[in-house]
Amino acid sequence: MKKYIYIIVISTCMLAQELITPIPININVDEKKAELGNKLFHDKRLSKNNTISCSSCHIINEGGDDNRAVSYGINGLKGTRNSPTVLNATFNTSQFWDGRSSDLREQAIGPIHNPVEMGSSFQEIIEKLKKDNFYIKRFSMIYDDGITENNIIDAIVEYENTLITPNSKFDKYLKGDKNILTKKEKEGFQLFKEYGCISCHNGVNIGGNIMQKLGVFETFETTDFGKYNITKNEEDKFYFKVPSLRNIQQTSPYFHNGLTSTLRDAVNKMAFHQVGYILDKEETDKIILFLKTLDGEMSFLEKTYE
Amino acid sequence: MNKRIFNTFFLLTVLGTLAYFINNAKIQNSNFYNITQNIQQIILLNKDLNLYLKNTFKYNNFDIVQNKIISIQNNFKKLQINKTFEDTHEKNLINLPNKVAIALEKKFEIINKINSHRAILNKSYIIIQKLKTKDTDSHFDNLYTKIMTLDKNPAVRLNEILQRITQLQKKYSFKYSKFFLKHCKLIVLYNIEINKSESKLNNIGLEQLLIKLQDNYNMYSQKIIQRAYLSIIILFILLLLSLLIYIIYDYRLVQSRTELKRFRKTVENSDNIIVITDEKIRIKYVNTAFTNITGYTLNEVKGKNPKILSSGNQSKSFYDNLNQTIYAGKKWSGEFINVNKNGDISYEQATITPVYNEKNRIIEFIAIKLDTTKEKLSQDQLHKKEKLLLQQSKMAAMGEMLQNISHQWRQPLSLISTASTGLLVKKEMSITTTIDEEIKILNTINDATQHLSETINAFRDFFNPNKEKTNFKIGDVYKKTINIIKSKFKSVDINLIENIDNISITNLDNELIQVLMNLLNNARDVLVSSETQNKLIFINIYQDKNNVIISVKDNGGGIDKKIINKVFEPYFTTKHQSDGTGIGLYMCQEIISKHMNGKLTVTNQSFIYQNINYKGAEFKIIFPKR
Repeated sequence: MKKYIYIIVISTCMLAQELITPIPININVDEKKAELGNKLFHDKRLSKNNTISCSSCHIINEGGDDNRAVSYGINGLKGTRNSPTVLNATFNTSQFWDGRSSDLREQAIGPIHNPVEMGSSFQEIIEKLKKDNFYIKRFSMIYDDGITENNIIDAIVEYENTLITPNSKFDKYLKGDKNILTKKEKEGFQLFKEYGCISCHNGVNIGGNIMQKLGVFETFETTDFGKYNITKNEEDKFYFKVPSLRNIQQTSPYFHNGLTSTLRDAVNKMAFHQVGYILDKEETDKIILFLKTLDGEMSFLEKTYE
Repeated sequence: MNKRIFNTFFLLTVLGTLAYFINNAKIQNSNFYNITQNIQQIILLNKDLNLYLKNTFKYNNFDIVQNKIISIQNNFKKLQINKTFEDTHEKNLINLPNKVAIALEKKFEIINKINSHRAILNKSYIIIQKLKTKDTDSHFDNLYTKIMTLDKNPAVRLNEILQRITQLQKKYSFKYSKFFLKHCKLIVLYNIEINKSESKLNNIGLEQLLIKLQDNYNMYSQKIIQRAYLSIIILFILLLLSLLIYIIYDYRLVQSRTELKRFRKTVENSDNIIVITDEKIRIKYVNTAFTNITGYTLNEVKGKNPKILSSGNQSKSFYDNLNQTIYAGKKWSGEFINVNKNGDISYEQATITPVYNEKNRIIEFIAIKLDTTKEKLSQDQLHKKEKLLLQQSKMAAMGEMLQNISHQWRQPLSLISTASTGLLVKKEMSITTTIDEEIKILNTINDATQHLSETINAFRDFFNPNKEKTNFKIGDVYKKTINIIKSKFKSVDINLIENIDNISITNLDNELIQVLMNLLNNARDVLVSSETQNKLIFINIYQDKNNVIISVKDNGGGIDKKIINKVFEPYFTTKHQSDGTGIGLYMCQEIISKHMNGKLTVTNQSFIYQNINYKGAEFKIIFPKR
């Protein structure tokens, strides 16, 4: 019986494919872990010389990124890529620009070990955290085995799971409030679909669920080979993760290398390199208006942890 | 007891194992269910994915595809971490999950690629439709149709189309035409890519692998479940068996306990004294009879040697013999003379038995004793009484003797007196006597004294306490008896009719004299008091095949039937108090039966003597010949 219900549910999903789905308002989170994760997320002791925290590059109240073309790590070392937003990152099916991690758990380890980011190791971090009574107490309260690599990541990931932005204007529109969008915004969404932007930017996060070749129509000038760097597979050259468009107006500069800092530039570049069509100004404006409706509520900012 | 402990242990082990097996089977069963579910879901999700892959001309929400992939991955992870797959040595299963894992990984990778390609493809299809409307030129109509029907026309040669597009690209460089052609090229290229990917997917053979996994797993689980059932059934049978044994043992134990209880009760309440000691003869247990008789309670004597009861009247060798016997493992029986708490002597008839353990070592001794003090005392009293009676009868006999002596001495004494006085008178009166006369007188005196001496000898013999049996002739003994009592018979004119066979026997002659004297005197007394004119006593001494018989029969009329059975009882007499003691016949019987191994009987007889009928009592002394 269960089997048949399952089939029916799946088939309906397939048939009633909504290309973009709203962000759920609530997500199941262990508050205590999230609170601890929050603390860790903002703790500079996670870097080698205690100068960088996760939040150094993912500024929570500024769109979850650092507003720089590329990020800076410890000792002022310059990274190679633009910091992706941590907001709604939990909905991505892969992490990093090259999609090398399948989830946040894997992702969180990356920057800690990266010598141009935090340049640290869990051994060092655990040693440092064990000198802090707060952490000793908190960890032992939540976890049986106290401060461990696994538990540190678990707490951070749990915190990141809380960083979702529901109730954007567009989400409300999707949920049935047809009048919440202006005419132009609706037309923007229509164009977004018509030009096939939606073929890559779809799902709950409006992106983040596939890899795509950058410069599929016209070559995109960049020295970064994207996924190829990981797989060394010729076919994977210039494949990058399709980024989420949620809160897009807050996450400039755009692209993996922070090439452009305005939405207009970004939309035009996408149309030229990816869509293979030239938009007129009016169309671009409408699409930008639509994109701006994707800013969600950041209720997590109001949450004050002790 | 060991068997019982063993059985209990066995029972518990079987029970534990059974519980473990059942629990294990339960876990395995739910495990099997979970795994089957997981495999089925993977198969279903995979079918969904395949369904999706066929769906070409549509925008896709890749979240759905990704969620399916994640679902499959989660299900598969559950499979992989399941112990069944880790533990199994089943040939058909051992490498299958790994193969599936690799196939899944490949498939997901290809699907991701297809996703990317399809996104482009779908977008380009939309764009060319848009561009077609802008491009009024009909040069591309043919190409457009071909492109739009690509998926419905699998036989079409993509490379040919590609060549055609390249040709057209050279020809038309107008803005929209350029875009249109480029998009067409992209569509063809990505179609080629997607076709490649799809054939790659077919090569992976994930579906076959999954079905193989399902089939093999079902076979494997069937096998395991059957094995589990079998072991549970075997264990259950074992459980029943041991339970049965347990019940049997228990029943036996209860039975033996009841028996033991009964035995214990018997021991506790027995009138016999029962003492149980350990192998070093230290008292472990005594029963109530012990306490009643000795005055000691169990607590007072526990751990002590039963020697504390010893009166000291028995020699060391007595106890040594006892110890030797029981330590040699033999039963000892004998009589203890002990003292109780109050210092009173008690006699105990005892049996001591050693008790062995299964290793054939003596572990304790059980003494069962019977208090014989009372019997012993009354026996002693009886002995004393009998002695007294004997004494009395002897005294009576002595009185009789003295009477007889005085009778018998009267005549010789008067003879001596007459002879000596006659001689004396003659001398005083100076009558001369001849030597012959004097010698005659002196001879008479001498004969008389001789007679006196003989008489006294006969009496002395009678009183001689000769307890040794001697060989004598009954006739001689009878003569002696008559000699002693003849004086009494002469005075009353009784005829003794004797028929004597002078038989030799070995026995106590003096005792026989005493009995004969009694019988003859009794007969005389009866005849004296009877009115019969012709007073007769028949004395017959004869023998038959087995016995020597002395019969004393009178014609005094017999003994009253009412009392004939009582004549041998002590203190029974028909005579006047002053004449009879009542112990005469009693003593006779005692002497004959206890000291002389004979029998004394009495019967009333009617008989004819010299043509006259008589009645009388006949006493018979019967000595069996050896």
